[in-house]
Amino acid sequence: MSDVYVVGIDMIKFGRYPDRTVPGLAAEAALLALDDAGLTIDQMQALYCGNLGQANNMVGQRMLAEIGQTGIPVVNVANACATGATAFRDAWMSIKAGVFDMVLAVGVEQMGKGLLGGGGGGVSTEGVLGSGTMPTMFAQIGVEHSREYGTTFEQFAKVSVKNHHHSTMNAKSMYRIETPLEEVMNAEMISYPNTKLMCSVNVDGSAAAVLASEATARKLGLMDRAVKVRASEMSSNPFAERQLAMPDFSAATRLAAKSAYESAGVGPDDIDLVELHDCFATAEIVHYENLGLCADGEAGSFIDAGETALGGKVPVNVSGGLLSKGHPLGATGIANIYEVSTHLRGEAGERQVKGARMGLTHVVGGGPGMGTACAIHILEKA
Amino acid sequence: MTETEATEAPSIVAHLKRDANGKPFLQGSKCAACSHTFVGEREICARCYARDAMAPVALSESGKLYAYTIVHRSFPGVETPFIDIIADLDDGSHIKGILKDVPAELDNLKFDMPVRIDYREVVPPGSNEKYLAYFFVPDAA
Ligand SMILES: [Zn+2]
Repeated sequence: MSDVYVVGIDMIKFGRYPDRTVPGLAAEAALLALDDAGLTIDQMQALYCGNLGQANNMVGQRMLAEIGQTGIPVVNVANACATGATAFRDAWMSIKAGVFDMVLAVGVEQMGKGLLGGGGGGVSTEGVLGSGTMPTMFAQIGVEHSREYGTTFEQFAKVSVKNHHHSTMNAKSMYRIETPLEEVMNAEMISYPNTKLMCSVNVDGSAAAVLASEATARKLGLMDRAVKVRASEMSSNPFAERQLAMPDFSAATRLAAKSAYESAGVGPDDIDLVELHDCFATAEIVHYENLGLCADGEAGSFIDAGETALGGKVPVNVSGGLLSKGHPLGATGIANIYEVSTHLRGEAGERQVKGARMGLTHVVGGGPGMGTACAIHILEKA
Repeated sequence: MTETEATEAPSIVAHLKRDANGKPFLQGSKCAACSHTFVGEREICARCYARDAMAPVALSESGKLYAYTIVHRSFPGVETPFIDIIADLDDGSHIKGILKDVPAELDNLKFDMPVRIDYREVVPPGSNEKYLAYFFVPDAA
């Protein structure tokens, strides 16, 4: 089986583009990724397109209608917050399996403002049987961590201070504003302990990657900036004791992380930077432990010590993360891979993690009564 | 009495039922193979995959507070703040609900504090009719 390389990758600046179309946003990222590799759409043998909001509307085909109808197979993918990473992984698998030599993966989302969650038919149980909003789900996960390890409101809030700071160095971030600790903690409380500044930003966005087999990357002279995919792993939620009351994102993350470290033959200490799923500040804290970046129970002191800030032991969400860069659901997974790839290429400018050779990306999504999708990729400088 | 039956509020969710006397209860399922108790009706065990071991049970009506949050922002029309809790019921099942009869302040919330189920008829946000629902209240016992 051939190794698989990212030979072109890019994302649009995340923001609000209400006047544009979903296929149009996807097309912009696709062209940026093709240009990054110096390739054209007719060189792509298949398209894997991730989108949630229009999951039944053939976004991939409509995107090709804008940039070139070459007749290639198109797979439209929807998998909660793991949608983009799932499209990327499907692309990876197709090369790994020897079916194709070079393919395109795109993730795109156009979102409204406001709270996510709830939904479904019938009379609403929101405010009667509890709350099904995403902030509430992740608030409970944070409070559970406090229950077990004494993690404090202030420690959760520090995640937002850090990621907002990181985003000031990223031109493609939705927001680029410093938020001091007091500002984060005094912002409007949404679901304790998550204040408004501790919730990810609903934005529009797209990201795309061109993946190629080693032989193809070499033949086309694309190895100089290529990024090797050392591991691509997914999981769904295994049985968890309280899953019917509080959706579990930790067990799935631990499963996928174990698989990813094993298939790459590396451990958390080999990872130079991480883009993880900080949909809420509380989530980032629990994922430090789920990904093995620190021992169980140490996430609070880990953030206190600045180990996950740029310049720390393992910088996390140097892009600004979902908290500040923004979280266009279907695009997030590939945008994370773009961020890590940019550091491995040494092209991250002001926010460059010095000497980065290997990075990890993580997305995990789902909801009450649905389940969990997790995807983890380990990437290495070629 | 047909009169009370006619005005009996429907349940807001499938796992909340009434028995033959009209008394509310929470429907659960217990797996004889692995002993896990699930909220709601089901036939196959998600935990141990047993296909013939599930039996219906009425869930416990008391338990302990496992985790909590105070919800300050919800969907439009939903009154806030309210206390959203995850309770571990005495039979080993786990269920989410709103803790009532205490002000929505952190000082009133302690891990493992005893809580019990209280069935109430309410008009849900966005509806004009009463529904049977369940809540938690602090349990003095
Ligand atoms: Zn069982």
